[in-house]
Amino acid sequence: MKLEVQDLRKKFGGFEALRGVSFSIPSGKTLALLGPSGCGKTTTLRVIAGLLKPDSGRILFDGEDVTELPPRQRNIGMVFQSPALFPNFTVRENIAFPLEARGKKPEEISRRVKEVTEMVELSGLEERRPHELSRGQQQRVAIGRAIASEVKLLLLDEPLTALDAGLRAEISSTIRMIQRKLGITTIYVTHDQLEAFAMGDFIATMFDGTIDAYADAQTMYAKPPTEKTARFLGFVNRLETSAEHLDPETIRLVFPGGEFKMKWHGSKTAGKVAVLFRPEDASISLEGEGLLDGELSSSMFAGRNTVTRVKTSQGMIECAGNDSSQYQAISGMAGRKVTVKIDLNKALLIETGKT
Amino acid sequence: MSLTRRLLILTPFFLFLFLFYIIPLLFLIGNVNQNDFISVLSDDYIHRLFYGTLAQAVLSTLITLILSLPVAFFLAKYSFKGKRVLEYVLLTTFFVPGFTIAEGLIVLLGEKGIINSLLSQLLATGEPVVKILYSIWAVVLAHVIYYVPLATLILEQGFSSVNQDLVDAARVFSGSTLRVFKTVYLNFLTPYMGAASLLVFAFSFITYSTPMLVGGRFTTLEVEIYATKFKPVSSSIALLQLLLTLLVSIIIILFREKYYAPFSTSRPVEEPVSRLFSSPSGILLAAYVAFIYVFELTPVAIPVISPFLETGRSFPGLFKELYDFKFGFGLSFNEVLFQSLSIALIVSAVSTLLSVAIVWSSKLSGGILEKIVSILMALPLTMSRSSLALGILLSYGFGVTRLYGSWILMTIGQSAVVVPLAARIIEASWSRVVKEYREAADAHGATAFFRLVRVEMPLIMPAVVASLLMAFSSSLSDFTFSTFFSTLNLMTLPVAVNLLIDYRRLNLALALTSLLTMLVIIVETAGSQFSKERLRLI
Repeated sequence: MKLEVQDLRKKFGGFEALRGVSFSIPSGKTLALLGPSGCGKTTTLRVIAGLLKPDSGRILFDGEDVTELPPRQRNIGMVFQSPALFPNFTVRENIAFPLEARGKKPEEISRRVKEVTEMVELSGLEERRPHELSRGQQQRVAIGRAIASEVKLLLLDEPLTALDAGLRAEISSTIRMIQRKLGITTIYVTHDQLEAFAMGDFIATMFDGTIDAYADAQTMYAKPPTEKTARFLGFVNRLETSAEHLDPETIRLVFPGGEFKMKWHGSKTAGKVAVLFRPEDASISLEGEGLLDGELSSSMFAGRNTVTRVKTSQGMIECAGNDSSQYQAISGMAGRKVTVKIDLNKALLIETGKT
Repeated sequence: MSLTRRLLILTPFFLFLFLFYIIPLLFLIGNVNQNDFISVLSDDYIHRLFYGTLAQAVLSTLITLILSLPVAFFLAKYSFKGKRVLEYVLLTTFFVPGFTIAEGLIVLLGEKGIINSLLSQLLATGEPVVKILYSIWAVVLAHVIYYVPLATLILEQGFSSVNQDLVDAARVFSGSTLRVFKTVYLNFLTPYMGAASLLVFAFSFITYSTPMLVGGRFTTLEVEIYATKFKPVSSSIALLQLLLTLLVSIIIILFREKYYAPFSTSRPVEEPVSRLFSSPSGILLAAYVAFIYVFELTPVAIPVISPFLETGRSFPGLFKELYDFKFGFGLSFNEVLFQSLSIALIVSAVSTLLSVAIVWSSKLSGGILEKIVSILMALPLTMSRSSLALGILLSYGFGVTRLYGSWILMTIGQSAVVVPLAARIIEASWSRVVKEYREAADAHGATAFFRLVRVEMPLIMPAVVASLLMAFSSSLSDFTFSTFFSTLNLMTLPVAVNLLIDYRRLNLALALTSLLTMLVIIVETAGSQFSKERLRLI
């Protein structure tokens, strides 16, 4: 089922939680809705589920307007942050709940419960109650309940947040497997980038009640469409420099430490650009081989690598490209002149204005 | 959902409000003669009654608060085995019928009571030494005994809410105990002290059975409404008392909405009780707490155990005498027992059903309407019961229906005050049903009714059982509606206690009080085992 969300708006008192949210998801694909806490992700999800009524805007399931329909008529499945399993029900009863609510026949309910229990790997635990299950098993029951009835749309509201790292990997792979097997159009809400890239065919970033960027997962990771999204996705370093076109597809960037040529499909006239890059794409050199001079401000051992902060004429630059074996050599050198090496092939260029 | 539909959903609430409050109060107001009301406002006797009622309420509040503070501090600060039991034992005094404590005071402080017998022997005076029974002081004393547990429980929450990190910070930076108390404790305690004071004041202001039994010539506005119930002036006094108690109720609700938001502490403040005995002030506190427990439990224990201690007669023998007792007008005790239990069962069922319907409809209507229902349901808790009883008598007793002398009238009266209590127990439990359960049910295709039956009702069932039990015990203990609506053919157990005292059959009155009190304690204990929400009423 193709989902279209058109210009959703929702106010809580004076607070504007959704300010014109629009996006669409092709049938059978997963959209990861990524953003910081309080940006409106869960509100968007609850409006799509019908648990909240929008002030304006439309929700279309395969072109049919469902905005005014109550949740029970939307045929959706939902997994909440806490498993929200009915504590007085067994595993079987929890999974059967959506089928009973939709008035299915007992034999159909038993058949479907058996299928789903196997799918979420809970066979043998059908008669247990939620408090007799581990947190991971509880979340599996919640997933089972969400897909028990043949739903058109699966909504997942940060389902891994309360789980530890090991369980997260286990449950996320179950969700991905089920989603692919059943081909259900899915929205996965999260504030965690890794989860978003692991789960989503498409990623939409959301800030302050609006969608900031929307792209397929690979594009979103490598070349985020907006500066705000880029910064949220880890492009925390920013340099301003001038660019000059050498030919229609190549530009030259000028840094104090040298020039750099790269592919470019932006404006054909020369101008100022901002270069954004991730800390892991920058490292420091004590031998003056970098593009930018600076003074080492601090260094920190971070396990796999060494994280340094370098004070430059363009502000503080964070580098994580030096591995941890270099920590001993770097530590205690605060104040020393260094140069910053940047892997500009992985950097993002944003036009900021003409010269 | 449209406003009209949300209002329609609230039909159970509007029906309850209309039938149990608006009609009786309209009849009461309709029965007020303007000249009577003006003369009541300027009548010296009514002024004296008002000031007397006010004075006993203020005195009861102040003394209760002062006595409760150290006990609350002890219970909040120190941890020990059996602490929950100790808290519950203290609360027993609050749950027993008001007349149990009044009778306890009669046995203890009467001219030939335990205390006066001991003191006159000790001092060889041959005269009673303590002469506070049948005066305002006996009323105040009974209130203090009755409300210390209530105030202690509220203040204990206040002390428990104090953030120990702030106390430590204040100690480090200031050092002065007084400054620590002023800057930290007082700040946290003020809302709780306000809540405790307002509730004790409001309950003391509408006191009824206590002044009737131990007030002697001292009386209150509530009792005066009863005393004049068949005179035209009664409606005017009732209207005045209704307005006064509504004002107090509104102040309580405004206070609750604005200031009373229980804090949560970041670090438990409890210390092992053994530390208490390492300093003289700690030992003094422990001794004080022990004294308060004796002070609280003696007036409850005396009426309960005295029938067992009576020499020359076994308790079964005493009970048989009670069972065979015939009141002067022909009604026998066993008929009273049957009537009282039947009415309690009916009130229990009706109130709980109505409460579930009201809470469910208010939750469905949601938003501001849910809030309005919650506020309106809180209003009757501290409203004048005598005024309501008179209104019900005028409307359903002799007005639209002629039910005076019927058990239905008793059921209407008792249900009117029990429904708001039961609704609060159920509402508190319903609010604790995690929102996500409801949303999960909705998201997975449940209708509101399917969700109620399959998800919400099973989850709130302990609170429903607790409210059934609470309603049953409240009906058994009720004194106000029982005295207003009892006739020669219809009577409840509390009225029988009152009559037995009037007949000077104190041994039988005590035997009946003992039975009734034990029954109420058992029912209340069972209720609190089913649901902690019963305590949340406080």
